[in-house]
Amino acid sequence: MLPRNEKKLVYVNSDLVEAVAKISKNRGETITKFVEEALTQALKVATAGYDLKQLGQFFEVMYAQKILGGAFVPLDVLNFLTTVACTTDKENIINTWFESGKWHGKYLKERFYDPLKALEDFLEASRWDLNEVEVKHFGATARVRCVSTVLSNDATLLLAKFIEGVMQGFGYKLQKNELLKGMIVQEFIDE
Amino acid sequence: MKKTDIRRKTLVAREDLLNRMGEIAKEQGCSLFELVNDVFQLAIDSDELNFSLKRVVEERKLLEAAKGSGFILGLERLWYEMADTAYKKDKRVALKNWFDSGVWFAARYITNGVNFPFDQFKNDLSAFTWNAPEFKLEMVGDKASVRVTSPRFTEAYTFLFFSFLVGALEKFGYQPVSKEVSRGIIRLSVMRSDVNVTA
Repeated sequence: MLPRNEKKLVYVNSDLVEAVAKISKNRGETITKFVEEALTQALKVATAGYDLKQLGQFFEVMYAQKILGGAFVPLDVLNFLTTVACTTDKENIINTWFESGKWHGKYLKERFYDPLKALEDFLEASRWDLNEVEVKHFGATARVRCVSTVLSNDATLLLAKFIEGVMQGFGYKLQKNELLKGMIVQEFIDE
Repeated sequence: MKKTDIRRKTLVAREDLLNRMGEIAKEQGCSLFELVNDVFQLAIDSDELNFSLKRVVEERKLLEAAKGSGFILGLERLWYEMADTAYKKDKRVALKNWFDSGVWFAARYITNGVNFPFDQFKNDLSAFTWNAPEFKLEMVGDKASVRVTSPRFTEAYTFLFFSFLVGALEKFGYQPVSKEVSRGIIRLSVMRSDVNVTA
């Protein structure tokens, strides 16, 4: 095994080196320390089986979730709450999810360069009750497809209204809405 | 941009780390240059958001842990509104549902063979309760206490979350000995149920 203090040179994009130097200076650290910390963490990421770029996307989503007031709730509790809310005041709860989606959409549109990709990342990162998530755009149209083996009819409906709200927040109008238990296929057009 | 257009500089790094990075680059089918650039780009992006790369990795692990524990991440205002509706409709049923969820959550740690299930439970629950500015779960001897404070919790959500905590702690063998619950505030003290209180 190599001694830990053996050093080696590595090529890096010069723009990144300048940024690293600036951050290190602001933190009052040496560049070497920053480099060592970054590489050590990167190895942990790789060992854990994560992709670095994907990790960055997930982190942006987590960051946005914290800003937007994200909270964890057990899936069983969510299913229970959804059922009760939909049997008690369905119209109101549908509207709440839609409005919440719109608000979410406006934030994502402002915060992310590619809001459709951000929506896909957001759904993938936060809704693991979804087996498949796909958000694609073709010119002025966009298509959202979510598949889940565990979503109830009501939960499917609420999620669909939330997504419709998000897309409206992006400036898209619903064109086609196909809902089955655990499946959402929606098409939108850019207004 | 062509590869030849990219201006490069050199940095000094530990050889063992670079060798491992080289192996990973090979496994991923990219060059060491590309992989190291990705690492630094992520570290720089994280810094812009005032987070370290270490924190980014921890957040990713948090998501994995939440997934494993059956927790869904969503907007708290939606959870609160639905919790209010369910609580208003049938308080007893709603409290039972959250209590049972707490029991299930704790059972996962008790049965998964980890050395210190309560510690793991405590760490995960603290992480999942990020929406509460204060969440403290402390254990001293046979006693444990929970302090939760959140100005955003509705009254219904506070009582339901309290029920969840009681369910989880009872599964770990603790019984409530004192409690104080009001909107946004939970104070709960528990003691192991196999301990004689009068002794």
